[in-house]
Amino acid sequence: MLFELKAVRKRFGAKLALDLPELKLEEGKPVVFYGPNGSGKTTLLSLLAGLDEPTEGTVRFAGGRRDVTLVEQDPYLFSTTLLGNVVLGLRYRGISEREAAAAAKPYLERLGLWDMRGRGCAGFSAGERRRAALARGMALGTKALLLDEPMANLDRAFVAATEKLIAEEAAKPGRTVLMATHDLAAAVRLGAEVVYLSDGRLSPVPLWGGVRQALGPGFGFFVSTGVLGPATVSIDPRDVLLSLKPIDSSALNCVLGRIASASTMGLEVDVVVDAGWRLHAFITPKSFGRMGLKPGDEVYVTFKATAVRVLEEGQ
Amino acid sequence: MDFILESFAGAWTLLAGRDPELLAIVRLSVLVSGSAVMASGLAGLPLAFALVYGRMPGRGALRIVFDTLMSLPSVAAGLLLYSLLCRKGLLGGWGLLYTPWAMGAGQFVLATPIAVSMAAAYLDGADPRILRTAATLGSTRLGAMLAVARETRAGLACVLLAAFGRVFAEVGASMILGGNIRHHTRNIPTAMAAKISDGEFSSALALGLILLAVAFSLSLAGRRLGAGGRRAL
Repeated sequence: MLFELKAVRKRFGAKLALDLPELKLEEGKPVVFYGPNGSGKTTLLSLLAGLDEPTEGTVRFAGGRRDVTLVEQDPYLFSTTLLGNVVLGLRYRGISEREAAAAAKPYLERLGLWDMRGRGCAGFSAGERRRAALARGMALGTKALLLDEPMANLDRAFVAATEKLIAEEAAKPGRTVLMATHDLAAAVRLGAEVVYLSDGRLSPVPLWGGVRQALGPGFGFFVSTGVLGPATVSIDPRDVLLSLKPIDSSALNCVLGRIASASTMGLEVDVVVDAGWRLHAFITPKSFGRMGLKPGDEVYVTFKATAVRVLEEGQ
Repeated sequence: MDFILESFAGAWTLLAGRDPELLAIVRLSVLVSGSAVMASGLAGLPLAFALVYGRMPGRGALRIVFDTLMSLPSVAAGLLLYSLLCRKGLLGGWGLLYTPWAMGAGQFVLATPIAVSMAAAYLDGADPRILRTAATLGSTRLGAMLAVARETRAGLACVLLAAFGRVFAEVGASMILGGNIRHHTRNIPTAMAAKISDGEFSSALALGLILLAVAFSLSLAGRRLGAGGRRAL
C-alpha cells in the first residue's frame, strides 16, 4: 500500500471536513477523487501530501517526505524566473542547475512554456501559472504525484495536452497519480479508479464502472444528448427515484429492477438496484422505511434523460 | 521664524564646506545606527520567524512583550544599559561606557523590538502558500523559512528601515551611553541637543536637515533595492 488512512478525521473549527474510517491506495494505480466543491477533495490531498495533519487518526505513506508532491489548484509561483520555479524542487534535492533544467525541459515543452522559461512569473495568466506548477510538480518524478483539479482554468488549447501528459505520468512504473477533479469524464479517460467524496465521506461511485451501455430509444435508456450506441455513463444517485409502481411522468427512463443491497451512507440510504445493470439511488431513511424496501424486492427506477451524463462515447 | 530660513542656509553651508567634524559626526551616526539595525535584524528577524511559524509555548505572550517594547523610551533603554555598563555595573569591567559601542548597544535594544514585532506582523500576512509550496517541493524546514524570507524581502527591508528610523534620530540613549564627547561619541542627534542647549537653534535645525537628508538617501537606496527585487519577479 502506498497510502493507508485509518480513522482519519479532519476538522476546521467545528466543521468536520473529512471523515474516512479507512482508505487504502495502492502503488501504481491511478485514483481520482471525485465530488462536488467542499466535499473534502483538497483536504484529503493536503493530508496525503503531508502538508496538513489529521485531527484524529493516522495517514501512513510508504515513502519519504520527498517522494510525494502536490500541485495545488491555485499554485504559488516564487518571485524568480519560470525556469527557476520549475527546477526549485530538483535543486532542493541537490541536483545541479543544468541537470535540473534538462529534466524540466520536456515538461515545459509539452506544456508550451519552454520559450518563456527566462521570464518572471509576475505577469502570468491563471492558465500559465497552472501549467508552470504542473511542470514543476511533474519534473520532480516523485513516487506519488498529487494533482488538485489539474484541468480547471486551463487554457483550452492545453487541456488535451495536459490530460495526455497526466496519463503518461500515471503509466510510468513506480509512479502513482492521485487526482482530485469534478470532471468525471477525465477520470474515465485516465482509466483511474474513482473514489467518490461527498461531505467529507466516501460514497459509492455513481458510475457503472466498466459497463458499456447502449443508449437511445429501444436500446437502453434516454439521454439528453444525441448520443446513440455504446457509451460509459453516470447517473447521480440523488437524481434517481424509486417506486413500487411505474410512474407516469416527464421522466423518460422508467425501468423495473430488483434491490441488490441497501446500506446507510451518512444521512442517506444507498440502495443498489439491479436492472440488468447496477445503479445507485440515495433516498432518505424515512422513505426507505415507509416503502418497506428490502433486498430482493422489485422496484421501479425512474430518472430523467438529463440526469444521465455521458462520460465517454464508443468502444 | 528667521532661524528656520537661517537653518536652511546653515545646512547648505555646513554641507558645502565639507567640515571634517561634521562629516565625522554623520559618519558615526550612520555607522552606529547601521550596525545596531543590522545586529537587530540578525537577532530579531529569526526570532520573528520563530514567533510566527514555531510551535513553542508562550509565543503570544512574547509577542505582546515585544509589541510593548516598541514604545520603550530611549532614555529608559539608556539608563538600563548605563546601570550595566557603569563602573559599578555588572559589565563595568568591559569599559564600554562612553564609547560608540555603548551607543550601538543602546540602539540595538531600541531597534530589536521593532524588528521582531513588525516583521512578525508582516509575516502573519505573508501568503501561506509560500511555506506549503516550498514544503511540497521537498525543502527542509529551514529551506522553507528562507523561501519565505526571499519572497517577503521587500517588506522585511521596510521593517529594518523603520527600525533604522527609530534609532537614527534618537537622542536619549546615545546621550546617556555615549556622553556626546566631541570627536568620539558625538552623533547627529546629540550634536543637535548640544546646539540647542547652547541656544544655537539654526545650527541645530541645520543638523536636523542633514539628518533628514541622510535618512532620505538611505530610504531611496532601500527602495531601489526593494524595487529591484520586484522587477526580478
